[in-house]
Amino acid sequence: MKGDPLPAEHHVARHCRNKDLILTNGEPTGVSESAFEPKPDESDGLSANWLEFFGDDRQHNVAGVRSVTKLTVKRSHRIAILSVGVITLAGASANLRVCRR
Amino acid sequence: MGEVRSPEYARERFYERLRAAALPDPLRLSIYDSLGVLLEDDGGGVAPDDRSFAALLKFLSDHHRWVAPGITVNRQGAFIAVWEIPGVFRWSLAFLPVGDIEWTELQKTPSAGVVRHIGKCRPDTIELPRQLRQSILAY
Repeated sequence: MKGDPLPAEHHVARHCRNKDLILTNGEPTGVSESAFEPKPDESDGLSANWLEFFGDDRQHNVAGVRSVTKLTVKRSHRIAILSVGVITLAGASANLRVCRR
Repeated sequence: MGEVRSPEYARERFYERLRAAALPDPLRLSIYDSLGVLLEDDGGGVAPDDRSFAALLKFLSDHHRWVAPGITVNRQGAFIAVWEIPGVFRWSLAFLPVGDIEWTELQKTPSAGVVRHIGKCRPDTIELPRQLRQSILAY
């Protein structure tokens, strides 16, 4: 239901521009803090896509996320996939929660 | 009147700086490959800062024995160099156009989750975190 926390073992995907990525030898090796700065339409929390909503197969659920993105996507953009449990642990001091909307 | 410069001219300035920097070839090549991606217009409206890039290159030439960092650009256009032990520790240095460095340490701990420390200093007073002392040298 809306507002329910997502299971810790699930994942969310967030669209990243070139400059949200940490690049080593031209390849993405991490995501910078800027990827998690709120966009203009995110005043009530960051938006991400719930991967397991589209099933358990990674190739299939990433394709699902790509099919629903409304952003203008460029070749150098990437989708960062993050574990809900890791997000919750990292944001524990700020009481960060990952919920359905 | 202000001088109008094309995006190609601005881009070439970065590559000129990189070619002129006193860097070992593997480090230069690593930065070259990442720079190509970071200079692409990604629709975010952030233009990488030329002076920040110069400060990054100066710092790397002063620490040329270190392994190539990951690099990125923040929302102000400043270049950031990142060294990390994946999943354990991350050290990020943001090169401000005025010459200062803003550093951030992220340490993952079993008890407190991720602990973050930040600070600001001059490039010649930066202290290498003890967590990276065993792994940062390339040769």
